[in-house]
Amino acid sequence: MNGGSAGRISPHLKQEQFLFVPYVTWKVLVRSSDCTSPQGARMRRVWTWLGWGSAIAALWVAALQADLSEAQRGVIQALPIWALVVFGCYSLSVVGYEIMFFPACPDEAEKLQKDIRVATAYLNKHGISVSK
Amino acid sequence: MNDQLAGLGLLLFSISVFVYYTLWVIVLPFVDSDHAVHSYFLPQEYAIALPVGALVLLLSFLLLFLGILMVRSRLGKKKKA
Repeated sequence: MNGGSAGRISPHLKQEQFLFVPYVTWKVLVRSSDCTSPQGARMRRVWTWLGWGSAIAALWVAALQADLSEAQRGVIQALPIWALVVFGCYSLSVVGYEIMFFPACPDEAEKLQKDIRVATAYLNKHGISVSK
Repeated sequence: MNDQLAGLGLLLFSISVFVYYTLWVIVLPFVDSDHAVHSYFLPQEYAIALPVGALVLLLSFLLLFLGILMVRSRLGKKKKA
């Protein structure tokens, strides 16, 4: 990797510069979907997510290949489950936050109940039975 | 008021689970194994086993619920016919 021509695939490009091949493929796949139609927009999202997912998975696998201490290797092996737990915590916290700041209108509810009572009484007075 | 309390509880619960789990899985392996902090955490195997077990339980309950719903709707249709 340090410029020696022995590890090179091509005389003009270094090994890591060949990352442009998957990157350009992914870019073409993302761009090729016509985002004016809903189906194209959906395919674009699918390719975007697949690209990010495979990039992160590749980084994880590369980290597993590296020369690491016992503790570091254990942490890296546990990272997918950690990500799952963090996703669960994030989802739960979003639900909690939304419940906390859910807009409630007690005054309007009271007014609506009063209207219902008035209307029920009126209808009952004119001989129409309204079940509560 | 009750809803807000429930929401706050969920938020605090999820934040504390996140902090505890992150400390357990990511920070604790780098602490010396005879340090006193280790007495506040279960052994490292449970850090994998507990979430996986919870996931399996959740999925099986979900599928059981779905199955019961499907069987019930099938039985209801037969009774009507």
